[in-house]
Order: sequence, then structure tokens, then C-alpha cells
Amino acid sequence: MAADDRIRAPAIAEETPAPPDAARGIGVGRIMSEARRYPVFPILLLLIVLVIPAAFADFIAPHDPKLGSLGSKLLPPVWMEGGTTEHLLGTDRVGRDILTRIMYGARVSVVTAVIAIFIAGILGTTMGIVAGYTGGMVDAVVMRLVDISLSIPIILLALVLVAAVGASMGTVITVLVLLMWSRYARLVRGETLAVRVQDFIARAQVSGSSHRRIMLRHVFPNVFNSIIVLATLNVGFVIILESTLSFLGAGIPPPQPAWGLMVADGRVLITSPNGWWVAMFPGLAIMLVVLSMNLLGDWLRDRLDPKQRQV
Amino acid sequence: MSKIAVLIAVALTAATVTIVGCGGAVEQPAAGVATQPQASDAATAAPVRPSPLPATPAVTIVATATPRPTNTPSAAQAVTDLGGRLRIASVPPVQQLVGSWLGTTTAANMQVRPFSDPLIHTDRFDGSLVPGLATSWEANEDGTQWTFHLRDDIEFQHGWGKFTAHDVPHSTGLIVKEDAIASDTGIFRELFGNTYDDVINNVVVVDDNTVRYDVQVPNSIVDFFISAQQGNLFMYSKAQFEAEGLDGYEARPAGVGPWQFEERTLDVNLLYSRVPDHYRRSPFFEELEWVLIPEENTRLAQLKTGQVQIGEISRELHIDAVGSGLEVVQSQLPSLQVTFIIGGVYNPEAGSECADGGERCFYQPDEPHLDVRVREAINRAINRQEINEQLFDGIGQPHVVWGYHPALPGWNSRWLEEHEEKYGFDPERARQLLKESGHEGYKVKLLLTELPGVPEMIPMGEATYTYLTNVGIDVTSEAVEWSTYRADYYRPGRTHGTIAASRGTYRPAEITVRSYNRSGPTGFWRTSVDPRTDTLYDLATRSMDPVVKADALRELGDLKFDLYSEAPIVWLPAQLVIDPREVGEYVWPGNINASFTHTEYITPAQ
Amino acid sequence: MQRYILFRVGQSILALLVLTVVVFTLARVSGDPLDVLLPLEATPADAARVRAAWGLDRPIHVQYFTFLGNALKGDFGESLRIRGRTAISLVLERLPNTAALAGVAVIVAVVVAIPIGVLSAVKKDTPLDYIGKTIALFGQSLPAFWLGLMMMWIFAVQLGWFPVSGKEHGALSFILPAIAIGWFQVAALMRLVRSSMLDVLDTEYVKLARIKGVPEWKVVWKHCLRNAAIAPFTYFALIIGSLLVGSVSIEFVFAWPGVGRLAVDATAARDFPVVQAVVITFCLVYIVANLLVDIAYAYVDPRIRYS
Repeated sequence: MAADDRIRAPAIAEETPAPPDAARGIGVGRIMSEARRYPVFPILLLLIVLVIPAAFADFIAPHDPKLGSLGSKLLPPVWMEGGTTEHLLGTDRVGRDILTRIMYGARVSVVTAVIAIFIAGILGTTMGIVAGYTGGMVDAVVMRLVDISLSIPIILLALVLVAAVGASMGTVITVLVLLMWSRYARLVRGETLAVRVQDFIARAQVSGSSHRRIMLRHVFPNVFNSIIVLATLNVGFVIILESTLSFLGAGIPPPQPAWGLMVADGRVLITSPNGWWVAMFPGLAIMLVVLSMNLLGDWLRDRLDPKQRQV
Repeated sequence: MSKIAVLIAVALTAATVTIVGCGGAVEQPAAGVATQPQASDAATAAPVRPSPLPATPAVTIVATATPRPTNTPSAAQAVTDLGGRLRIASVPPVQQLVGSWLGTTTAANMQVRPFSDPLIHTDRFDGSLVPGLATSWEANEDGTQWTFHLRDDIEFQHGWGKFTAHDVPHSTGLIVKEDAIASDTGIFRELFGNTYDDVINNVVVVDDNTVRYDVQVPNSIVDFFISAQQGNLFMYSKAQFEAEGLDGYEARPAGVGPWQFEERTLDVNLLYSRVPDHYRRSPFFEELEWVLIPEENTRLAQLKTGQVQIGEISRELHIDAVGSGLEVVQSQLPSLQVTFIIGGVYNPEAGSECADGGERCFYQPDEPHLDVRVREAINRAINRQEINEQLFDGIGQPHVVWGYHPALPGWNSRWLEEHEEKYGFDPERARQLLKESGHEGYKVKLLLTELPGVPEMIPMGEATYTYLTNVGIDVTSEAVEWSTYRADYYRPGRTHGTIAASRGTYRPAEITVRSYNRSGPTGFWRTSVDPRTDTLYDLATRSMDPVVKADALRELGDLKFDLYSEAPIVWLPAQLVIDPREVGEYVWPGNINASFTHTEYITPAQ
Repeated sequence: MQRYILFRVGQSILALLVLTVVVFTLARVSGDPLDVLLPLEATPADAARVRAAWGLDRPIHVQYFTFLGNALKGDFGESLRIRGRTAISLVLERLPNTAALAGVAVIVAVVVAIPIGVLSAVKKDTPLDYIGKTIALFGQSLPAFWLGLMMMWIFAVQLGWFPVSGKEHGALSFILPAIAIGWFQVAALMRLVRSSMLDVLDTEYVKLARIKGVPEWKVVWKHCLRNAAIAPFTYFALIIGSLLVGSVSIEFVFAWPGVGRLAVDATAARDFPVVQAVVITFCLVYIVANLLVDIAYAYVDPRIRYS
């Protein structure tokens, strides 16, 4: 049942590998391509915005992320009139330090993204490999499940879940997993179909390896790179979706310091001279992380996936 | 010269001009009609004769009108040219309806009130009950029969004929229809009958212009429920119902209001057109359009670009709006009261099945909130002044007993005098009280809920998280939808160990007590701190003697005040942003959950 | 061929059936509509009465089969939140609004993504490539509602070029919301165009065309793009799904009367009939589109139906 072969096209194309750098430019282009070989900017950015704050928020954050004083609400950033060095990026509507909340928010975002992507990745990969390798009825069932999953409006699912069990990080992760597993399943199934017909699989089958062993030892390593690339690109997507969920009141609940929540919460003031910083700085953090994750993903793709797999 | 001064000048000039020029005929009272029901008995010592609280803190915003006695000429009279289409940007109501039995009072007042009138109208300056379709009304001695005398010069719109007493039982019956979900469905069933047919029997048509409500349970404020101040009771045409059924109401409802319903697009708008020669007030604009916009910034952007003339904008953006040449106006009366509900406070009757607590009982003996010192500590931990100044721009008025306002019956001036002493912000004292009670560092779940009209409820909850943490309470907080709170916490009686914010409207205190403090089927929270609550409630509700009633309410309030049964925070007026280039004056009482009523009095800028 | 189509249709129907169960169950676990729609003061007795009037007091499986039976006839019942309107009429009233906006958003995405994709393929690893990529990525690195609010502030309030919100201003009304939704898709589309362009640029016939002296612009924009443009179209199925995600928040920001808002409000109010109608409609659209694409593929490529 290979009717869904064409699905490979979109699925892979979405993360299409760029061909290896063939011709190098000179001048600026040269520098850029050097930087591209070792993604210095994205990695540095990620370290500064995401990794270090997430790991060391307890030590470096100047304040408590959940406590604030109404008396010092909506203080502007330090460089503006009225700003203080105590609150470098200003304070929010209830007087909490924005820099602190961004630091702790990095942790929330990292944890959410990593757990969600990890679970979705494992689930999707397993389903994808089994479906692609086994084919037949199993494949049909898995692919219809994928169809169902893709066709359910995820936002509604999220709202329903929140209404049923309440808003929490767990709910957000569940929603993200339900949304993403099918993407991994599609991608991996497509890749598996391509790998399955190769000689070394046939050889392994002849030599009497169990199907489980073949899937684990032979197919999985061959699709792993694509998974990693997709996972990297998904980090940004996860953070953005988390924010959209917060916008609709179904995200990580206050007073947790989550980036998406901070942006959604502060959006009322986004164009106001008296509080634009509340949503602007967490928004900036999101932007930097998504941009650098994407650049990193592109780079990884070039490194890990050098062969042209475009159908 | 200040804006207020200008307005007074305009109003005075206008009044003079009108009286001289038109013989004062613009707001003519109907011929031969008593303006106030004659107080032959205590019933009409209207419990709702509020006047704004004198102690108004510094208000930094502009009021467009000065309070004045009932229905005297105002700037409205100066209008010579009608405005075109008045567009008001508003949050889409949850229930979009043209049938007032299909949703809350708030929804009905926004969508139905423009096109239909209640029997008793409310004064736009002080919210008091004034004649509407009923020119006068009176009750018998025990409050079981209420008689209303109706005007006989009213025609339904769209040619559905004359409004008569026969339309009244029909319209009242709609509120108790089996699928009715109006705010007042419950109380209407209690008062007038459980079904449409019951109501038809209990609301007696005496003659074409007289109708009598036979009330099943004596109640001293039936006129309040009948009026539009609280009620959902607007007049619908019985003739239209008989000809077209409810579908006709849905498509083209005929009312007797100052506006005529034209059309609506769900989630987009509602459009009404002006009714000329309306018996109370023909609007000063040709058309009225509610423009439904869910997002805060979008409503402000619509105002800034002049696409709407009035908008519901949250307080956070008021500075921004004023900076763009817009003006903030506020209602004449406080419209919302905000409080924290301290969960798990329930005083069981001795010998009742819940006397020792139990799985399904509100009362659980180990609840720290049952200790009055803990409740005082919570009250002491919260800095009300800071909340008012920082979150509510200082427009809030002191709120000392949940449900009670100085202008409403049952008020005790002692509460305000002792407020600072008993409720004043004092974290030290709070810590000490907790220590004395032995509940130092006890665990509490702060539920962050939000209700329409007070967008600050979440920030207020977040700030309170800090206040409570600062006095050593072990707080966790959780964001909960209001409906979830209702389903999971208070309905099943599981408010133990929680604190949640709530808000109510400006209305007789017993209605708040009914929902929050009283036990029995209508008491959801049952946060009564004293067994006398129910007896006092019954006395207050049934007594037609205003003195007895007020005393009972006062005693109830004393209990609530002295025993810290809630943590009341603030009384708030409703606020709107207007475009002064387009809108002249808008005076509305605001006492119905901040609904925007009395739109027919809005004048165009001259 | 017929057998294949039958097989696929059968599968799709089965998928839809599974879906009805999922949707029905999910809608009901989300809570009680009466908790949302009844006023604060309502008593449990009031609730029971309304529950009976709305048919929510019947056993759950009875409710399901009633729902399924009626759904087959296109009847999802009456909305609980907006009385007097059937759920399906509400959905059908809104669907064109969402579809039109999504359509314009796709056009925006394509119009932006193709030139950037082509340029960054042709000028690979030059500053142009990076600038293009950054523009494309920008739309994906911010929440759509953030972008929407910003654009509204700049282009509607400050510059006054576009209406602030609503859809009553004709074509102009579409521009800002469509950009806010479409931009999110640009990055993925651009990657697609870029990589397939790189493929095509590498093929023999392009080399041949160059040798024959066809002008470079013609090689790129005509010969290559025509071939490279096929890939993005296969992306269509995925776009349908993700468009709704982006468009919900934008429908709120721009007060757009679309299905997304209807669905969110219905979910908040536990308006089961409408929630069910929206989800089933969306799934139906998605599954049918998918089915059609599959069949078209099978028609074009006979190998599929025999494998």
C-alpha cells in the first residue's frame, strides 16, 4: 500500500537538505559561509538566551519570578526615563522583574519543548518505522491515524483538554505531542520506505535478523538524521504554539513565567508607550531562539543529510 | 475652563433654550401620569434609591456630565441635529440573543434593552426605579400582590399593535420557559411560578392597562426584579408570538424601546434604528450599532482611527487613549464589587448531617479558614489601597462588606469608620495572627479566575499571591476558568483550602447574601460564618417594613464584617472611552454589571 | 483503479467514524455547558430543567447514536450558546470567511516564498540568500497575533492604509490578516522552493539551455521555476491543517467572523453541537482533499494502485 508515497515529497521537502556547499563565494559571502560551516551565531545566541538562563536561573536571576510589588509595576527598562538598574528590562503589570521572568521562562520553554518533542519523536518514529517497514494493514491503519491527527483542529483539541483537565504544563505538552507525533510518523515512514528497498536490508533479512532488530539496527540509524533535523526545527514551532495557546487562555497558566504566556499576557500593552516592554522582551527572546534554532536546523541538515533526497 | 464647567454651562444654556423655545416638550412626561408610585405602604420605600458614595477618591479622568436630579433637562436638550450612526465597540457577549430569557442580565441589557422597555425604568443619574411602561405601582401589605398601572399610548414596533396588559404575563412567562437561562430565571420561578403556564395564572390581567403579580413567596423587592435594573424582563409582543412564534422574535423582534431592531450578524454587529416619537426619549442618533470586537487593542485602534465613537477599553490603556485625544467617562454609580472568597467557611447547624463534616459537606472541621484569625490575617495581608491605585487607577471606592454599599439599605457607617482598624494593611499583624492561630505557613490554593467587566482580576490575583506569600502563607496558584471553578469547587462544596476572586453588581445586599452566604438551594458558597444568617436573610427578604428590613440586613452585615467572612477589595464604576469629536454626553448609571444602558440619551458632539 | 478508489473511500469513511467517537467523547469530557451558560444564581434544580430541555440528561451512548444518525443527515443539532440557530448553519455561515482569508494567506505565502526561494537558491550563500532567509524565518519566529497587532498599529492606526478590523471594507480588509497568517507558512514554502530550485538548477537540461545561450533570467524564472514549483503544491495538505492554528488568533485580533473564532467560543461555552459540527466539517474537508489528491496521484502514476 504505497499510495502515500507522494507524502514523502512534502514531508521530506519540508526539511529538504541543501546540497553541500559546492561553490564558495568570496568576501562577505565567504565569511557567511564559514560561519555557516560552524554555526557560531546561532549557538552563541542559544547559549545566551536559552541554555545559560535555563540552567542557572536560580543563581543569576536578580529577583523572584513569581513575586512582585504593585508599587513598582510597569517600570520601564533601565535606559528609559524612570528605569532603574534594579530592573534592567523593566517590570510587568504586577511589578515582577521581566529579566528574571525571561530567565525562568527559558527553563519552562526548554522543558516544555524538550519533553514534548522527545515524546512526539519517539512515538512518531516508532509508528513511522513500523508502518513503513511492515506495510499492508499496519501501514494503512497508522496512516489513517496520521490523517485523523492532522485533520483535527489542534487548537480546539487544546481548548477541550484544558476545559476537561485544567491548564497546566502537562496539558500543553500533551497537546504538543498529539499535534507533532504525526509529523514524525509521516517523515519517518517516508524515509523507511526508501530505506527498506535497499540492499543491506535485504541482506539482513536473508541472514535471519528479526524484524525488530532490522528496524532498530538498520532502519532507525538511517532515518535518525532526519528526525534530529525536524526536532531542531520544531523547537521554535513549539514555543510559538505555546504562545498561541496562552493567547486563547489554554497555555501554561499564570503566574508561571513562560515566554508564550508573557507575550500573550502583555499584548494589551504592546503598542502602549507605558508598557510595550512587557511583551516585547519575551517576544524578542522567542524570536532569537526560533531564528537560531532554525539556522541550526538548516546547518544540521547540511551536515547530517548531505545526500540529495529530494524526490 | 474645565470640561465639567463647560458642560454645566452647556446644560444650563440648553435647558433655558429648550424651555423657552420648545416649551420643555422634548422629554415630556405622559399626560396625567404619576411620576412616582404613591407610597401608600412600605413597598415603595424603594430599597433602591441609591446616591453615589460621597467619599470619592481623586479621579483623574473626565466625567462628561454632572450628576443632577432625576430627568431634569441636561445637555441632551441642546441637540439640534441628529447624529448619523453611533458605533460602539464592545466585547462580543457570550450569549448573542434577542430573547432576554436566553442569557444573562448583562447580555439582555446590551442586546434587548435598546429595542424594548421594561415595566419599570431606571434613572440614568442615580439608578433609581422610575416609571417606564408602568406609570405607577403598589404592593399590598404582606408583599404578595404587586399591581402595575400601564400606559395606554404605546405601540409595538413593526406594526404589531398596541402594548397592553396582556403582553405582560406572556413576557414574564418567557423568563421561566423550560430552556430559559436568564439570570433571573431562578428567582422568577421562585416568585411567579415554575412554568410558562403557572406564570400566566399568577400574573393577572386586571384590565387592559392594569396587571397584578401574585407572588408565591412574599418579597419586598419585586419591583426591583421587574425593573430593568436587575431584571431580564423586557416586553415582547404577544401578537407577534401568536402569529410567528419564537422564530419571529429571532428574525425581527418587535419591542417598545427607543430603538428598533434592524439586523445582526453574529460575532460582527447588531444594528438598530431610531424610533421617532418614543414616549421616553427618541435617540439623538439615526442608528445604533454594536460593533463586536474581542481584542482589546483592536477596539482601541478602531477608536483611534475614528471608526467607532465609543469603546469598551480596559483601564490599562486609558492613558494611551487619553493621549490620543479620546476621553474616559464613567458611570454614575459603582457598578461592580470585587472580593476574594475565602473557601471552606461554613458554619453547620448543630445536629445537621454535616455537623461533623464529611466528604460531601462544605463544613470540614480541620479547615484553617474556619478560624477567624486566619480570615483576619488574609484580610490584613492584602494592600487594598495599593491594588486600587495601581490596578484600578484609584477610581475604586472602599469596599468593606461584600454585598453592601453605603447607598443601599442595610449599611452601617461603623464599618467604614472601623475599616482601617480592622481591615487595614498590616503584614506584621497578619503574621502574628497566623502564629496565634497555629496555622502559620498553612497551605492555600489561590484560584485565578476572570469574569467579564474586571480584566484586572488576574493581575489582582497575581499581586495577592505576593501579599499572601509575604505573610508566610504557603500559596500555590492555579488559573481556573470560572465555569470550572463553579463545577469543580463551589457547586460540589469543595472550596476548602482555596481563595478565589469574585465580582458582583450593584444591587440590594440580600441578593448577594442569597448567593454567597445563605445556605439552602440557592446558597452556593454558603460562606456563612454564623448560624443566624438564614433567619436574618429571610427576615430581610420578606419584610415589607423598610426599617425591619434594613435592620436585619445590617445585622447580617455586622456578622460578615466582624467575622471577616470574605475579603472585599473594591467598588468600581463602569468606564468607557469616547471620542469627544463625535460624542457629546453619555450619562448612564452603570449599575447592571457595567452594562451600557440608556444609549438613547447619548448626544452627538455639537 | 475503481477498486483502489473504493478501498481508499472506505478507509476515509472509517477514519471519519473513528473521529466522530473521538470528537463526541472529547466534547463531553470538557465539562458541562450548563456551568458556563447558566447564570451565577442558577440553582441545581434550574440546571436539571435546562439539561432535560436540551436533551443532555439522556444516557451518553443514546446521545452518541442520536448525534451520529443526525450527523449523517448533516444535522448537528441546535447551538446551545446561540439559541435558535443550528450548529451547521453557523459553521457554513462562517466557513467562507475563513476559507477566503486562508486562500489569500496562501497566495501571500506563495508570492513571498517563491521569489525568496528562487533568489536564495540562485544566489546561494550570498548575503541575499541570508537576507531572504531571515525575512522568511521572521514570520515563523513570532506568534501570529503579535505580528497582527504590530501591523495593525503601524499600517492601520499610524499610516491609515488599511482598515483596522472587520471584513466590511472589501479587499483591503484581507491584506493585514492574510499577511499575519501567511507569513508563518513562508519559511517552510521557501525552503521547499529553494531546495527544488537547487535540484533543477543542477539538471542536464538546464545546463543544456545555458550552453545554448538562453538568457540566465529566462533559465531561472521560466525553465527552472516551472519545474520547481510543483513541490510546494504537494505541501497543500499540511497547510490546511496548520492554517487554522494560525488563523484562530488572527480572527480574534482582526475581529474576523471566521470558523476559528466560532469554534473557540463554542469550546469555551461547551457548545457541543457547534464544536462537533466544526471539527467534523474540518476533518471532512481535510480527508476529502487528501483522498482526491491520492486518487489523482494514483491516476497519474499507475504504479501506486498496483502496489
